[in-house]
Amino acid sequence: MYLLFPCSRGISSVFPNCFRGLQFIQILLIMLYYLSGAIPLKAQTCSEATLFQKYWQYKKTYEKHFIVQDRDPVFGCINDGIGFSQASGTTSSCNFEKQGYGLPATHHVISPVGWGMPGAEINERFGNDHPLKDVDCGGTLSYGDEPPGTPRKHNFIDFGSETLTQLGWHFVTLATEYELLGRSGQVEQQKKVLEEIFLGLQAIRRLDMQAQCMLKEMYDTRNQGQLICDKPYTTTKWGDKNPFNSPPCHKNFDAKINTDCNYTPDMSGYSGFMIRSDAPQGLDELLHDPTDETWHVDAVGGSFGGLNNDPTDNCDDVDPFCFMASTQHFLSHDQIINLLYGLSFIKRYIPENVEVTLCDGTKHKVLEMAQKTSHGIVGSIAADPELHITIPGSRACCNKVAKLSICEGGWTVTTAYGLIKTDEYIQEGSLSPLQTIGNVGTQLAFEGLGANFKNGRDFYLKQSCNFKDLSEVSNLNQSKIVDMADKANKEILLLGNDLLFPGGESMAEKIGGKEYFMGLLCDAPCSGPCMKPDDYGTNPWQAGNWPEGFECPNTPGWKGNRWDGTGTDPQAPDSPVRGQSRKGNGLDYMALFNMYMLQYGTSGFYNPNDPEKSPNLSLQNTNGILGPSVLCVGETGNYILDNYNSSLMSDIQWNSSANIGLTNTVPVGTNAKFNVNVPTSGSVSVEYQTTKLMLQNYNLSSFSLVKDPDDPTNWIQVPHDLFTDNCANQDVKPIIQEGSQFEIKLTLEPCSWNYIATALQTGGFPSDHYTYKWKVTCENETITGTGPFIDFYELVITHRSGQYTIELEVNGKCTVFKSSKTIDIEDCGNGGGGIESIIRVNPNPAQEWISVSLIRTDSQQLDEIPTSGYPLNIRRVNGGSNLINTKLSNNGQNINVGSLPNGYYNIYLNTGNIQPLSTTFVIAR
Amino acid sequence: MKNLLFCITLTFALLVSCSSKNSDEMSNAELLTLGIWTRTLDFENKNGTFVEYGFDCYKDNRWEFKADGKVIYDDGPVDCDPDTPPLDPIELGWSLENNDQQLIIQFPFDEAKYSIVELNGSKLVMDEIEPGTANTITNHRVILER
Repeated sequence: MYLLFPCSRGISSVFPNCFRGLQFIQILLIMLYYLSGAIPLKAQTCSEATLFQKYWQYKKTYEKHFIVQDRDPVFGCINDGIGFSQASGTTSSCNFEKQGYGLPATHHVISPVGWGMPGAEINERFGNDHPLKDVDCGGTLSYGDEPPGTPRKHNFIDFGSETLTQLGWHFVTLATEYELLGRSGQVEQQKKVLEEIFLGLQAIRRLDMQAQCMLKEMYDTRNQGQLICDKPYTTTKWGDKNPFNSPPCHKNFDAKINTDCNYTPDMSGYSGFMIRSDAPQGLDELLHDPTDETWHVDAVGGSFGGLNNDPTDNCDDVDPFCFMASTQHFLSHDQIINLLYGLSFIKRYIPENVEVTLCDGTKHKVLEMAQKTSHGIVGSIAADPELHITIPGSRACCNKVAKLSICEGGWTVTTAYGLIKTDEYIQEGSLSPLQTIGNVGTQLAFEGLGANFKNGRDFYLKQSCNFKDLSEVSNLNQSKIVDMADKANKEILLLGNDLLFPGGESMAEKIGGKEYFMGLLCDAPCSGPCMKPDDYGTNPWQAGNWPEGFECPNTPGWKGNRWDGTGTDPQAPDSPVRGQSRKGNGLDYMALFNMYMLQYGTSGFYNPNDPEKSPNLSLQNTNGILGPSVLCVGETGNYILDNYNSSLMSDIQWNSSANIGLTNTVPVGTNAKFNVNVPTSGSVSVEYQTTKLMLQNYNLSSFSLVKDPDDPTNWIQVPHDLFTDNCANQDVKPIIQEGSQFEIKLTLEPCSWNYIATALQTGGFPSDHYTYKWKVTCENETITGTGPFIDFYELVITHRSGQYTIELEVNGKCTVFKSSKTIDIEDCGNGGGGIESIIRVNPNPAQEWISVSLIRTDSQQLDEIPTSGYPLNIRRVNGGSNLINTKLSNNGQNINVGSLPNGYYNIYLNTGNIQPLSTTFVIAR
Repeated sequence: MKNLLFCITLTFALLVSCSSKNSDEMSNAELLTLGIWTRTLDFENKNGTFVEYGFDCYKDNRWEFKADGKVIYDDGPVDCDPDTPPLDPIELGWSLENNDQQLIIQFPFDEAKYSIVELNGSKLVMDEIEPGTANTITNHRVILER
């Protein structure tokens, strides 16, 4: 951390002699600091390439610290992500080996005592005085009671109530990445992304199956007339502002069991009823990073992580079903809305027939799974006249239907229409669409109540942006939606609507378009969204062993999960997580970046971990490594970092493609040599960290308020601390090992006066380092040329029919390639058709310039052109207006066509005849 | 001058035509505002046949079109869910367009358009129009009765 001021906020208490007058000096120092350049400060530039590198930095962190995938470590293939088994002879004892897999954690929370850990307070598992210290459960979890000197545990990974929402963004990120990779032809990388989508969908199925097992156990263990759950667990009421008169939660769990009913669980995984997460204690071991204390993970937060029904330990056991009910850990309609948003992007970008193949060889269609998931969830709600999420089986097996209440998010009256219409979007074109449409009553409740209901406004906004083509909405209502998205900090939904409904008027443009969204992305800190409260490490209530070195930019808007909740800053006074030190999973940035690239991206997207198969490397720095781009067989090249600066760069790691070996590697550079003796290509790349300084925004203002040391009754403004944000960079150097082969390709069209020889590369790898020499000879007359082709029509004009010898010499770095070809050429005779003249365009295809000549076909000679010239026009072959108007004043006149995009064009020359002469040429760059 | 005379004559003829409407014949706006519509039915077009769907508790939902352009929609006497508090009536806007043949329901942030198929003192049949188009959605028909 770079501490700039001895009297900055956190230090002022240590140096009480700081005085008010220093405020001015501090501001002056800030200015001097930036102007002097004495302290490393990376330029605050932002480009697509910068955002791209940030994206992969986020992705790497996400995959390492926030999600566990069921991928075989040896073969790389995936398993089913469920691992279900059931002990023989039992009906309710389920075992899921892969609990928690495929689900994204919401946060990584840094806490000395696990404060704020969801689920921790349940079951008295951790005791009242010390949330994570549980003497009864000694040996299962232990926090803070290790012998002196033992590293203390302090962090937890949150798989809490918002897990399904995060899964929705996970799907958005992956489905858009799948599309972007496909546009760049990265098929192998696409396959991996598709597998991760599959594992996410399997995670939903597993949560569904988990709920079914809990239900079965519940029904099987209750006596006749016994309540589903024997206590209401909570009497939580919503505030008076709730329009539904503050009903208590869980009021409907007083349904009584009818044991005549033998509940049959639906183990398809598509029943539509599920728990929100099933990440157990122990999953943290797979996400724990022993090398970085700030990434230590010591426990799993979330209700399932607090669940204990192991009869062999000392902890109180609980009924899993009622434990989930008591902690509101069943599916709610807000989770459904967010999940369906992700499924909609799967529908949008994953083709119907693409499959994943598992390690066991089974194949699965991903889109079909997404459609069945949506169908199961929405279908079960739409089938209920009360529009509740109901407890499966309670209609038949209880004296009354058990329903999730309003405050559990179980009453969908204001959102059901949006759910049904979104499901229609997801099901479109499938063989089994949901056979229901929203009725006028649900539509009016959605549009009339949902839109005006304070707590439902965000639902309304997200659902409207999901299932409506907003370009079809009136301008007035479009403006209202844009305003709503702006105020709710959910601008991404406008961009998402453009993508879900391509064509038509752009909603994203109405809030600022490309520049606006790039600005949002540029603001995001490289090291990820996070939050560090200003009392970090000093709050007596949270006192403990805080990890040193934890820094966090607290960037407004990027404190984690930007697109969720109310959109308010988590440091706001009413935020439930105020004061929590935590790191977000970065899905907010990743989803926005991919959407941005799909809508506005000007460069090809690719996975930089697979650069050889990338169509280009335009989003990585290819100029950052100095060294030869061509190596001869057996040659060793030396590669160094351009602008190497040890104070600016850290964690420098040199890498190479598989067919290149590195030696004598030091931070500044490395030697590289191909380890095969055939023409091939590869790359040397370097990863390193650079730092940029950012303000530590403890709140939304630019200053902190501290007490004036001279006058404790007075408060003074003090600038926030500056600290370093670590940005990952990756430079790459494509290298080829020479040994290419060429052949002469001839294009001979006598009546069009095309006599062109091209050096066609038939082996090795394309490169612009070759030089070409041409010689064409006929009857002792020779013309020469350079470049990858030669046009020898001038020689043909002189000699007409005859024998021509064409010689090519290609010089590379290590080799010289020579080839020759002898051909007989017959000229066009009288040109056929009685046409007196033709236009000749050279070269064709062209890039920036063309040379135009008029040739008489009867004499096969250059025609005469009057000094006043002939009018010349160029248009597209499919018509339109003239794109170029000029005059042809002499043969071989050069005309600049650099302003024309690639395509086919007609050139027209008006020589005074009734019909202008014309011919077609191509621009290909 | 001949053209001017023609236009004046045409305008007069049109005015006469409009005013010659039978005074007993009520306009669509007048029909809509006659009183409360006490029955709401939804139909889905399945292979060319409109099939009623929806739950009974929705069928008694009521609409009251008012002359001031407001429409009050309420849950009706039969509550879908006795365990939850009754829904407050929803106040929305309404208007007629396209020669009174389209009913517009104005929501706070959107609107719905219906093509009026039949309207008399006791029955309103209307088909929902796809947003952004002039085409009638063939899969959703709403019938209000009183």
